[in-house]
Amino acid sequence: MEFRLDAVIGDLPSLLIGVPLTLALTVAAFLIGTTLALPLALVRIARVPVASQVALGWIEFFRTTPPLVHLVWAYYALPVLLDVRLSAFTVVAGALAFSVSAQMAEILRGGILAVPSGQTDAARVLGLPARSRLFEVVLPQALRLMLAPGCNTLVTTLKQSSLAAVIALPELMNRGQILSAETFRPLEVLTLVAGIYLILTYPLVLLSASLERRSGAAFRID
Amino acid sequence: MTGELLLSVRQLVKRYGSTTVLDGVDLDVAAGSALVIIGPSGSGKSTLLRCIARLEPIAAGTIMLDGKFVASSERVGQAQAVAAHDIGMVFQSFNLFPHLTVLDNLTLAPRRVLGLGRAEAEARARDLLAVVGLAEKAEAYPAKLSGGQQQRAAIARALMMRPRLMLFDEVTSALDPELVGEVLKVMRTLSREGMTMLVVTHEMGFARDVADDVVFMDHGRVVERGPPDQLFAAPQEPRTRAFLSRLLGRDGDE
Repeated sequence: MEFRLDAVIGDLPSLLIGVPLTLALTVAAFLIGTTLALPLALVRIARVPVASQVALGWIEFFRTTPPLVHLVWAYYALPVLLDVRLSAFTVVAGALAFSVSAQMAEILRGGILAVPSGQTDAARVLGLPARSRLFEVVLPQALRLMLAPGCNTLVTTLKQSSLAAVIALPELMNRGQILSAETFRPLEVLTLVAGIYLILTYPLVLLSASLERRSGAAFRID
Repeated sequence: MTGELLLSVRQLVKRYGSTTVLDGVDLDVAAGSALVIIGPSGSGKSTLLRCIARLEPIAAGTIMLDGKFVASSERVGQAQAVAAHDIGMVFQSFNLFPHLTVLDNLTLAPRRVLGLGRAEAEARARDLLAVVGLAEKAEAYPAKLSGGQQQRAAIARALMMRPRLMLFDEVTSALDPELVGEVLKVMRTLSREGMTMLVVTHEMGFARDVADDVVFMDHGRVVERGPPDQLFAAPQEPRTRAFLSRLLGRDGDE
């Protein structure tokens, strides 16, 4: 069988229908995950008793186990265990968010610890309260160091949104599976799908490079 | 120039793990006076300043400012009678906030802690920047300033909070030699205007000109104390003599 892209190119719209869901999953998972990551990172840094061990357990669990497992478990096991039936979108966004929270917690922790301790010293002697020290002095400086790894996590999350196909959520990958079955041309269809993922992720890569350049500007000693 | 007792340090002990860095330090500082602390590295000078600034917990002893507790090993819960910003500190590595302009560096704490409005804080900041000779640098970012300028900005930032006591921790040690003078000049002016200050430094010229007393520390203890003329010319303790001859002999001074 030859590779006949022209046979399926006309069906491109039916693939593109899945893109909004792909993006929605990615954004939801990343935002929720990053929000969860901040307290996780902070209790680890401050070594709060009990809380920091719990945080470590959470991070290790979600870093070492595949999101697919969380997804399938949540979708099929939760209703049986807790009599709770979540929507497919919630399940996927939630599973990915927990994975993101584990990755971003470590990225945050690394970024915060990399800010020189003299900054916190100066903020303390000026009398700045802890919240101010964190959000106005430390985090803005940590941000610069977190942009590249953070963007990598965003790209990974976008790719992992394709896992939703296994529970038939109609995002891009799932649309690809459906179209493959309809046209009997999986090779061409999935090549198109891969191309669309590439087009979605590439701007993120460019964005992260540009953000890094821009935010590093104030720190450069010319 | 001596006034009432402002700072009182009694039997201060500080340990890092099993190492005792401060071994029972007693120190009195009169209001309006300038005290210079000298000593070999590892003598605990910087640690002493950090303990006074409450950047480090103490193992034993008390630190009191104007009769109120700054830190005390016994009264851990109550030792907050003195506000953090009553004691200002300037660091060897400047520690300006790199992501903020000089002006924002100065106004951040007054606005958050003292509740000053933006306009009032900026007005005060511009006045102080003029005093330290940085009026035209208000909108600049720290990375664009020379080391001497950054340190002067750091001094202005500390002064914004109107501290009762200023601590200077080797503030010129990281500067190129030609930039040291401009910072010392600001400190001299500050002292003349009556600021109580504790200065850890290797600048003996400054100590001679500005200090009311010079304190020599070694191995976590105060070894000797006296007016600069007396201490430099006729040190009583052998360790003081040894340190001074190494220090002054090296530069070919006297």
